Amino acid sequence: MNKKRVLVIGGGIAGITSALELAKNDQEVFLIEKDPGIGGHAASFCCKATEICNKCSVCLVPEKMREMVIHPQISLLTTSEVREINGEAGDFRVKIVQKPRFVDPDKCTACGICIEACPVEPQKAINLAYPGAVPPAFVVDNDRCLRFQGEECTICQDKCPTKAIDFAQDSQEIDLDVKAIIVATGFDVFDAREKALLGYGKYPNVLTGLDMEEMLLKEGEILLPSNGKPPQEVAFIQCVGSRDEHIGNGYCSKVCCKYAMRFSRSLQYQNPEVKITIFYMDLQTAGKGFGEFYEQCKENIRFVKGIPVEISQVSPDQLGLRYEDLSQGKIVEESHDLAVLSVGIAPRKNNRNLARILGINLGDFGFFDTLNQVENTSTNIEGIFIAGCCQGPKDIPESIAHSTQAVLRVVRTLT
Amino acid sequence: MVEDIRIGIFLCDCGETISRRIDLLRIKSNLEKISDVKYVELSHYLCSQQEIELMGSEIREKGLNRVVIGGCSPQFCEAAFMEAMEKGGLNPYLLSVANIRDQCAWVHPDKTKAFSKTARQIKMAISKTRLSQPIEKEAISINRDVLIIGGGISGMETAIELSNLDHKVTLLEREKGLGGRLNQLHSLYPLELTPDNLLTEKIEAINRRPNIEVLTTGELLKIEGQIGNFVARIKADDSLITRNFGAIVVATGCDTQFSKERYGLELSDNIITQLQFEKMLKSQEKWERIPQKIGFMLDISDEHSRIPTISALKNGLAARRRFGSEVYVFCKNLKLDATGLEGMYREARDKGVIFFKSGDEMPRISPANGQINIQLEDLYLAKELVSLSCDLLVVDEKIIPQRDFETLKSILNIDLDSSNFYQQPNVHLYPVASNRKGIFFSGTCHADLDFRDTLADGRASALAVHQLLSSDKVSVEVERVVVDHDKCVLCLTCIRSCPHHAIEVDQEKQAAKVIDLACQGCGICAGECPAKAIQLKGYTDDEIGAQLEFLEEAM
Amino acid sequence: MAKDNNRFSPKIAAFCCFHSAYQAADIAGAMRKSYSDGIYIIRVPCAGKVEGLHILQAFEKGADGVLILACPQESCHYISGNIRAKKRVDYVLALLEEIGIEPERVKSFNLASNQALRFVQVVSDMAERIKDLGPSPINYPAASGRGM
Repeated sequence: MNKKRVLVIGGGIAGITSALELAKNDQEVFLIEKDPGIGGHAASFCCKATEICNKCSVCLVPEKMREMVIHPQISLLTTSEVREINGEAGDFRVKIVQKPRFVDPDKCTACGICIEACPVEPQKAINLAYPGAVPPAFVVDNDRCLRFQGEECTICQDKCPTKAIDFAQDSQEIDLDVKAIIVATGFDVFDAREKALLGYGKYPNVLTGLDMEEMLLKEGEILLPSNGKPPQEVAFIQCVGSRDEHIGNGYCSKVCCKYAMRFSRSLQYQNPEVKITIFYMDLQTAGKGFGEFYEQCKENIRFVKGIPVEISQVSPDQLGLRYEDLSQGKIVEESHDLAVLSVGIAPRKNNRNLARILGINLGDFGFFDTLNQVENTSTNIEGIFIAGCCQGPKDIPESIAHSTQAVLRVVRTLT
Repeated sequence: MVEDIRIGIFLCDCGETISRRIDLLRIKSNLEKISDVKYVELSHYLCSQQEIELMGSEIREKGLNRVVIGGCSPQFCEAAFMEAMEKGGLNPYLLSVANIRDQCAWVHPDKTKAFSKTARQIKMAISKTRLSQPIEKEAISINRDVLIIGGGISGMETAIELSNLDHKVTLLEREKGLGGRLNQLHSLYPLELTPDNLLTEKIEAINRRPNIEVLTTGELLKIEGQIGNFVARIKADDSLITRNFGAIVVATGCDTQFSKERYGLELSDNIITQLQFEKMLKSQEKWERIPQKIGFMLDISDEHSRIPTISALKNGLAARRRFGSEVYVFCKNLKLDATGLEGMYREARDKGVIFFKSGDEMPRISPANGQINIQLEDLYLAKELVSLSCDLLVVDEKIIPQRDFETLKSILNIDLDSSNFYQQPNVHLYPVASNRKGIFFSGTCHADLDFRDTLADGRASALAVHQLLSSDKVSVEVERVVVDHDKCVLCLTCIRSCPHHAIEVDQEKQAAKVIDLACQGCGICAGECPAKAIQLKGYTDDEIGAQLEFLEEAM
Repeated sequence: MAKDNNRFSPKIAAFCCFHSAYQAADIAGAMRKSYSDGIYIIRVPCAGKVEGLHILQAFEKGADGVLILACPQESCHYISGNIRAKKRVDYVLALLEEIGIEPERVKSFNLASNQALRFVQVVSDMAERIKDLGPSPINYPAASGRGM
């Protein structure tokens, strides 16, 4: 009798943790991920240590990724999504669609010959998804690759020494028999363009928290997009896309106050003269050791209660922020050179679709629902569990903890 | 007797990515000139299943007893090559990997320099491997029983989950009954069940499980031994018990404290703590007088914890429902960073709870005539002075470590953080584990957790313990750390410096003894030993010294 | 002081903690960042394994500089390894002065496992610093202008 496997949907930190913990508990696991590589959002975050670790936990992600890809009990299927499921707990029959990845991760050695050969400039159309990507196999960038612009280019395929690239690859359907499913599909980053008055996408020096992460990871420092110089006066605007009745996100995204403060320390480490202001509603500082961290931040970061309503471009390298100075009851405008929008964690737009396929309910705000607020990994369908941010905003350690809870449920009820 | 060293070198091209920068054929021919190198092979894809099998056969056929790999980072390939060693009949620790891809070919564009560095890197690995010693593995029997210290909600949850996973659990509780703080609370967020019903449910669950032993009015007196084999002396109900356990979970909870220093506020009949208010709401007795105006004052004792906000919201709503009192909440920041809290905040506002936010200047509080006068600069009214009076003021408390944290710390030899809660500072790496293998934490004894997080923590600990004790035999590397009995003078430096408390005194041999199962292989002991009596295999002084030979001329 | 930088290629022993700097170096490789080929990485399970003895031995055998790279404070996988490493380095710096080796030739840094760019920065800065200082006085006493 074949040992039935557990399906984990989603290769972010929650999915990876779920797969690893299941494997350590003697389970065989299929992990499917819709992107060509695993790691989810957290894989493109950057370490924010100065001399001291700032406990952002980003370093855990590559470590767990590497542990996972070499684990013999975990089978990884990338560019794959669930199309349909039938059956019930103990015996789910799942149809997966695997889109062509074009680059075979088992054959790609990341040698880089394809990058050199690629004719697309200035940024090549084939590369690692992000530095330190796991598995270290290249990915074709659909937005830039000429083949997706209608041209018949096969240069990289021809040059690849291990014949890892195959543009003739087609989608394929895979049938899986599993006894339980853990949904760990993560979140969407709130699209800051929805808050049009804040100028994201309009003014170059308005960035989101995610842009900051990617810049820090790829460049090693934060520089103004407008002139490439280090910023002197930085404003963090909290609660962008969270606690906002107007757009229906009536919840706290939990991670933003913390990441704003950690970024601030990084910026100060980079340039001790930088002036930082954090505009907030209610400062969230709960968590082991975070209170002390906040007290240190208070010494040289200006905290202002009140969220700017509007950002304008005063000059090519200066932004104007308009907010209500609560102490005086007046509207003021002050200038900063860099504005960082601390965007929140939003439910994935695809949740509705996946909920329909799996038969599970959506809860508040479009995250997946759980049986009750305390047992928050079990869904209305027996044998299907949820883990991580797809249930609601969490930071990395909480996603990991939540995933271990889901695994405990699986191990307990279905073995 | 000196062993006849026969080294095999396997060079990997990693799909041509290395050979584009480095002439591996020339490296190969240079290596073949070394006298104890008996075999050099060049491959395109060394870590493939095929090549691993082949490597095993070649090791056997050529009678090799040391192996050096020149290829990608050991992070990716070491495990596979250790497998090949075993297939070849060799101890897998007689292997060294020279990282000539990620740390050479990929980072040095100048071909001449890359070549020279590769040659030296491989030479470093060869010099080291000549001196490598085998490490044997052994299956050690361990005890799968678990001791849980503390019978509050997290301890009970951990006990139940561990029992479900087939472990015998001893749940040790200081008081006469289980439940800890559940006994004091009037309601829980987020739960429809009352704490009393939840407690009954959990106690029934525990009673139904014959593999959970509950010891009340008990305390832990002494622990000896290490993970897999702890020996505990326990006093319970005036009898002394000795039990063996494989792992220990500390679930001793926390205490609370009202910090009156900031205000000089004294608690009284109408200035009470949140816990006292919980008790009032919970008690069935009729209250002497129903409070008409209740004020919840947050951010006095603790500006960071989420728990005072949760208490204020749920109890404020309860007071409105039950008594129709006016309810005011005074705070600097509301802590709403958990599922559903924002919703509860809005519900509170909808149901008439009034929130006042202040800036850095806290409200002025003055008791007068049985009322509490509160004066504050309202932040949202441009600091206009607002005055009101409450007949009951409920103040927040700080979560502080259990009063006897020192006792358990010394008995168990576990670290504290800077606030005297349990757990060493690198907690993000080890969410529920202590510095000692086999000792875990659950609940508020190590972090400021709300109810939902406390339950989650209890379950996470259970899983972590289960993974450690999943079978009654555990494979362990034997004597990875070697103590030279002749050199050891029992100065106890290693014992004091081991962060994992994995070293003990061997009375018989009059020397330090490293407990293999508890050792994490960091080498700190070897680094500290003043007599150089300790060596960590794989990183001995000789092996490190041998690697420094790259500094001499090579090829 | 000989500043014959054209022919002087510094040789630097970089003791890298496997949990931090070693992995950062690997990511730097994946990013194809380049740094001086004079950097030789010696893997240790924890910076706490590195002793004064090894640092001095490195100079004895011909190193021009030594780097000790450890996890950030409060992030050591073995809790106190990075602290012990720092203490030993400080001790060695005092010894080096006595024997006539410039203390600038030994440096310790903290970095996390995914700080690839910081790794490249640190080793490149070190290589430059050692180039300026010239070869280790033990190797070429005449060149450094000191007698031995």
